[in-house]
Amino acid sequence: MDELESSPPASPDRIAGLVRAHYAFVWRLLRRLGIGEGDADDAAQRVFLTAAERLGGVEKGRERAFLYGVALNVGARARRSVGRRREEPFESAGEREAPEPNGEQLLERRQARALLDRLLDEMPEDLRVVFVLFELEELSTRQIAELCEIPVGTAASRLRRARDDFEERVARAEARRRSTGGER
Amino acid sequence: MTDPERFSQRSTGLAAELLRAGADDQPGPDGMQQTLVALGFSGVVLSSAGVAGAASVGSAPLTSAVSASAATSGLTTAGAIKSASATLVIKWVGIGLVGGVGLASVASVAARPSPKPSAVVIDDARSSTAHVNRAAVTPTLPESRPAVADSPAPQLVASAAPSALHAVAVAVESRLTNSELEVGELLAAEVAYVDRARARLAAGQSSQGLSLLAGYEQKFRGARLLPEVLFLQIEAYERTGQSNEARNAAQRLVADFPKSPHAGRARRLLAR
Repeated sequence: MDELESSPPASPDRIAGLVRAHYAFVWRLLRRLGIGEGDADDAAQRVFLTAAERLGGVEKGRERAFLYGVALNVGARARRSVGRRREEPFESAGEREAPEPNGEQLLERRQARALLDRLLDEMPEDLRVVFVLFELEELSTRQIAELCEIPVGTAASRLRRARDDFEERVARAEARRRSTGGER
Repeated sequence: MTDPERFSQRSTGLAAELLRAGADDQPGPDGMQQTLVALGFSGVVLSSAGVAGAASVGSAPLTSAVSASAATSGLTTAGAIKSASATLVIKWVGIGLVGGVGLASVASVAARPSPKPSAVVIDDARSSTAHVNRAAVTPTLPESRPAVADSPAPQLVASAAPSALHAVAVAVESRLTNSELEVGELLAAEVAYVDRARARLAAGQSSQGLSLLAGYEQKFRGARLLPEVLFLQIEAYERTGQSNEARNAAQRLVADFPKSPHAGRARRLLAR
């Protein structure tokens, strides 16, 4: 880390390119790692501000892995200090997703995301990270292993357990929904 | 090793539905813009709206200055930064500004011929060369000037290094006390001033950056970049752990500029 901090500053091109290329990835990752919608922009910004300071010491082609590490740290800190906020005090779903044509679908999707976040919140952290990267960011186990700096076999095994865990939670949620007459 | 089929690729089932909803989740349009602004790349954000040359990130400091001012003034940048003459400090040509005080003033600066040659020449940023002929930015400018038909080709190139921007800021600010200073030039000075503060903050010199921001309103009576300044203050106070000051700045931003692109961030801060 010290090595990174004392590294020369990255060029503006590289910093701006980093933001453009990876903002959505970082934002989604933070969201699925437990940052509320209202805090995700701020947290993503913190990731890039932190990353910009250290980017000079990051090898070309390793930016995504580097961002991932920063995002994990920022996400953990944000969760500790702010806690998860499930409600959007100032931004309605309609404002955020205005282009969506169908209000009912929009609501359903929003509810689905809320449930997804709840289920992910309940998962053990190591499984959750691997699960999110595989299922939502569509990384391969090899890529996940590289990002998390774990052996490929470990990544595959965590993924297997994570998927089992998630399926069980989904089944329970479905059962609850049925028992309450369709409510999620 | 073969990866399993992803849940989201299944056609039915609650797990697939949830994961598809999660994968569709996208950041709003403001997030990346605010991040780029916080990093000092505001010009890049608006480059697609027509700031020529701003597409190159290397040009961010100077072009960002113009587009940031347009953005925070609620104006629309429709043209490009051009240097019509090598004799003025900054020439803005083709900055189409819809409405607002800045329109006429910026346009007049752009159209005004200059009295003396070679006031400022900014070479390619990659050579980081800036030449400022202070004699040519002396306060007094004649009321009317003949057109300079043989003005040299534009030399203010799109790529300006921070040092070059600083040179421009110094040159422009040196004239701030002069009553003849054009509104458009003042705007340029404001932008350069705020960019300097931003650069200090980005360099970790928080107290110096905050000090510059604190002096902004006194220095520039119009304070057209106040929303941007308040936003930067919020950022800096948060980063330095001065949460009360951050909240004060956020309250002011929300109260005075509720429709600013930065107001959402301020509201979220106040909601904590």
